[in-house]
Amino acid sequence: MLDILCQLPCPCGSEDTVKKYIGTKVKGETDALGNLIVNKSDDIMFFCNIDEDAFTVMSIDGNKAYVCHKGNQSVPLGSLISFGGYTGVLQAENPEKPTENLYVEMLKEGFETVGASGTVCAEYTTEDEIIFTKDAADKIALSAMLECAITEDKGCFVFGVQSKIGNKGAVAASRALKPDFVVAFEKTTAKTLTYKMATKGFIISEQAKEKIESICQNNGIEIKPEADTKIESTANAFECPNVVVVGIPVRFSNQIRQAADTKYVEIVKNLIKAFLEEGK
Amino acid sequence: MELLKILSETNGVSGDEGYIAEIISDIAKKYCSEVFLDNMDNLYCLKKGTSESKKTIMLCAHTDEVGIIISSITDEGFLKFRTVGGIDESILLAKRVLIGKNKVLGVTGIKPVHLCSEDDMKKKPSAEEMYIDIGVDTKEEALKLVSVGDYGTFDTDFEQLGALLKGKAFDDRLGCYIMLKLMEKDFYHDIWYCFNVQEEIGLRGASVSSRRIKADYGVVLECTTCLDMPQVKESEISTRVRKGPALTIVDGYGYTDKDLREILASCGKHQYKNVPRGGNDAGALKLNNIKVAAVSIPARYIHSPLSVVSGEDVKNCILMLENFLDKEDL
Repeated sequence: MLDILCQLPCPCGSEDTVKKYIGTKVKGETDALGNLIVNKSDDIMFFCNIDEDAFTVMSIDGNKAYVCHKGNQSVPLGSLISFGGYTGVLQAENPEKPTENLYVEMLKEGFETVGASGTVCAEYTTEDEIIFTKDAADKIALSAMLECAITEDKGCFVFGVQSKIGNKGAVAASRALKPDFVVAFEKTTAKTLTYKMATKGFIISEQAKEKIESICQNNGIEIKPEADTKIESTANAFECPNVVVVGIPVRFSNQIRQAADTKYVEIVKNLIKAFLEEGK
Repeated sequence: MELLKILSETNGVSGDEGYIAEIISDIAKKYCSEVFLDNMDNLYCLKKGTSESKKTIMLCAHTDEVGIIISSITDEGFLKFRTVGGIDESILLAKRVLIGKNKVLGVTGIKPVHLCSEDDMKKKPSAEEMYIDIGVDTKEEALKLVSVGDYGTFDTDFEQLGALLKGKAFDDRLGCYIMLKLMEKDFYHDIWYCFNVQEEIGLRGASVSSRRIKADYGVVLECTTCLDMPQVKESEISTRVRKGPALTIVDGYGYTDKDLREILASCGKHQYKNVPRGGNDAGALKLNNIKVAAVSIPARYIHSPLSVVSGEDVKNCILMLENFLDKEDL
């Protein structure tokens, strides 16, 4: 499942491909923003982001598709960008300002879809237990959450969209579902699994801190607290009293592709099952 | 266009929308079954649809405009001020402004060019350095006319400019105007016409109204950036006057709903906004479980003392919305 998820394109704002795949495995509902929600019981909400950096076509002039980049990863000029059946090369009108006036020079003629969103064609590779892929931590969380959504008979699983433009999916889901306990997953640059004690605009509640610590201790899951109030996280997007944000270790965190250990799929699954077992 | 003139020339800086809401409310009461204000001065007007199998649609425009607020008064009777909403402060110089409920006339000033140093000349003038002259000599005299906390708006007349229209606060009194014109007609679906406050300082009104109204769809009616001038790159133009209302794909607050955008596109002449910056109340609606699109009138010189728009774009926007609101298969 992880292999498949790592190869499906999922640009921010146009996440249908991955949602369709999830839909073949488990029945869910889509909210107005586009979050896919599998709600078996509303005691704990589990959340991961499914979207990748997007290049959205704002206008087309000949074979140049002018695009805006939504996301926070550095994408070098010359990268291949795919819009479904059409592919092109990322260019800038002024190469000295590589983030401004971006356009994709299409390889073939006939592309006319203003509003289309594409992603970087970055090959997915594996080496032993290590995956090297776009948004590696999100893919691990997605894979683990999807497996749990299929096998478990409780929990509310939210596969969130539009994270690359300010965690819109997390805000919308927490407003609509009004959970009082959220467990969300994102990346960390630490070497082990972490939970976020404090990030920009967020301090963990005492109840949430005690819960994650006791669950990990009781289930032999190694986890460490992490605190950096200068770092943005998904945490403060949730309008909810108890939020646990679990960090999944990745290397090369700001590059197009990151490396992550697939053992975390099992670890995250065990964590979710333990939460479901013990309740909030 | 008499109504648009009234809406444009009425003052209502963010936080001071009471009077403009009153004008709109008086008109809305003629057409809507339910009209009420909340504590923020968001105005809600419900017009029931003609069908039983209808959807609920939330149409939004914002009543507030960018402007200034008086921050202090000097001993010599000059007013110091801060901007409200996003304004390029360098364009504030030598403008007529109207302060407070009594619309006291003032002019914005700064030291004359003859007395500027080379360094002064290199930098953009800021509101910090400017003052408002209301023609008095002392703080006591000034305090008889104005108070700290009074709002100020630009003193700009609404008028025809060739084939175009010139006025202040088109952002977003034009959206209000379009909603009031739509309100005169009956449509298939239930429509909540929401006139939101405080959009210019962070979508504050819409964040409240969109939690209150449960709607299947939201359409935000707005004014947007337009840079269809000579020597501007195609990718920086944003929108063009007379090319129809502009549909937003993505802006600083994220993506609009693709399906809804396509439905609106099928309903009439349109263009796409091709610069993904700025934002509007759609950013608030989408977070409150409403599928939302934004339709904007291209406005040259937006967020300044005056804007220029095309009446043709306004008509096309009304036509697009009329077709949309009568679509049975939403």
